[in-house]
Amino acid sequence: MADDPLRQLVHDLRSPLAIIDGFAALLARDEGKLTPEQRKDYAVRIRTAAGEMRRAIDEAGRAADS
Amino acid sequence: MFRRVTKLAVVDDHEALRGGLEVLLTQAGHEVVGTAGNIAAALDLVEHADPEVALVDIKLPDGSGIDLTRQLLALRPDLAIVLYTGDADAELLYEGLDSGARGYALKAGSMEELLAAIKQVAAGLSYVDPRLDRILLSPRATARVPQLSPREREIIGLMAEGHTAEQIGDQITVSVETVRTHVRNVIRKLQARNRVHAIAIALERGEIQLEQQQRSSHG
Repeated sequence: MADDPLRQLVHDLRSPLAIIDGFAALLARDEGKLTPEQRKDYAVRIRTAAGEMRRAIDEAGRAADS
Repeated sequence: MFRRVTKLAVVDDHEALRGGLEVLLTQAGHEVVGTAGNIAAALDLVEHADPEVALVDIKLPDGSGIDLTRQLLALRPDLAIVLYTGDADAELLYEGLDSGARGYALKAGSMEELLAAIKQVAAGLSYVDPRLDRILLSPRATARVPQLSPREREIIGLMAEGHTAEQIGDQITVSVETVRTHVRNVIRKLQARNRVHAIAIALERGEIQLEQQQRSSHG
């Protein structure tokens, strides 16, 4: 299964996407109950997950070019 | 409004997802009793932290989450396990459901869907991500479905006619808990998402017939 680069890419994107979706939903639903520290923590988690997705896509792009 | 807190364990090798789920599930009102990144740690966690529901990733560094499910259920038969995976793969789904997991949720789903899965399995029901319907309803999946026992067929038939678990227990002289166990087994065998889905599949496969259908087929 992991031999297929596209399937591997799809698999690698799922976990960070779940993080982004979950924390973005939490921030979107916030009605002033979250502390500034919590909001910052969630934003950092989203950015870290986005970075992971970018790396996975870049890696797949390089593999496709080679 | 009262909302029941479920004690959860999270098993996933992706560290950021593990940490993220711990925060998100806690924010949603659940209690995450611990997280683990591999099979060995997961067995230890379930033995000592006593969760009600375990979210288990299928791909773990020291083996498969499906094998882990079998091991966890041998240790704790009452544990509700949701396989939480990035793969919408038919073979993994069949194997996962055969392992005794009560839920199968995809990471492609939203947090609300994952919370719904947790709620369902914590209540003793089953959950399969709706994106997997096309696999569950395929002829190949239907051919794999194990036969129901006569008792299971009788109980799901009575459910289809609108009887409650209590009424069925009285009628066939078994406890309500026994009725519920049979219903859970039927849901698992038919790879259904819930009781109503199981009745629909049982009717479609001809496992059961409603009284009205029986009359018209005999008359």
